[in-house]
Amino acid sequence: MIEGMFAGGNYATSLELMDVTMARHKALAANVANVHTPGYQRIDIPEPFMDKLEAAIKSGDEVEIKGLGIPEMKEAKGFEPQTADGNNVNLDEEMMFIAENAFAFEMSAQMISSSLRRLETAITGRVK
Amino acid sequence: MEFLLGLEATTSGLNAQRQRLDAIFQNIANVNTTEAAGGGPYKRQVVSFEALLNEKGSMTVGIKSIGTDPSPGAMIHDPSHPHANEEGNVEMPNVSMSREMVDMLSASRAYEANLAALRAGRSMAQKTLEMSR
Repeated sequence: MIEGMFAGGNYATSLELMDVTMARHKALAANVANVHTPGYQRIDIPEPFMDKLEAAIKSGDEVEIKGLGIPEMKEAKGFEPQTADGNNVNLDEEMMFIAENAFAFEMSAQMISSSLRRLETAITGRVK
Repeated sequence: MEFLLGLEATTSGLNAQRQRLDAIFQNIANVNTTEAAGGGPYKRQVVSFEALLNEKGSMTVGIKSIGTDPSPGAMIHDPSHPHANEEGNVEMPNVSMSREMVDMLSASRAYEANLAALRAGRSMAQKTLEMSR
């Protein structure tokens, strides 16, 4: 019974998303820090990893999701240079990514804590 | 592990922008300094950044160099000036007030952006703590 609550694909997805969004925040913070570094190329989650993550979440296969791990940040493709020196960090865009990423983190954190709360309800028989 | 997410990147960003602001303030303060240490008029200070991957694998920003802008300053004809040459001309610092103002605005905006990133990281850490409530 209890295993059922934590073994599902949704729970694994939430855990994985927390890890990924935490790692992404670090990358986005680095991009903001380097907004005036000549020639700096913004880093982000590599696209192949995003594709794999999406496929794994769609399949709902717990083992597959758990096997994804934390992505290594790479230089992102497809961003136009913002200054003559080739730096491709757009500050407005980056701040938007940070807000969006924090929201995704919050969502998965809430999923996990509500699972824990449901378990508590099941144990104590009291709804808090 | 960083307790506050992105702390290393953000602190390096704050530090870099503050140093840049320091150089800008110095340039503005010396806009009329016709004789600086080492002779000649004051030369504009320029801070340049570089991306650094620190030993923990976090991308940060560092100060590559704080150099001087070698371009010549404007010549002003003022024979009464103590630093005037034989022709009565004085070389002014190569500091352009409007340029410094623009740089100042850009540096302080970037500083604020780093602070906003720090706030987002802090609220994420806070959410993690609240999970156990």
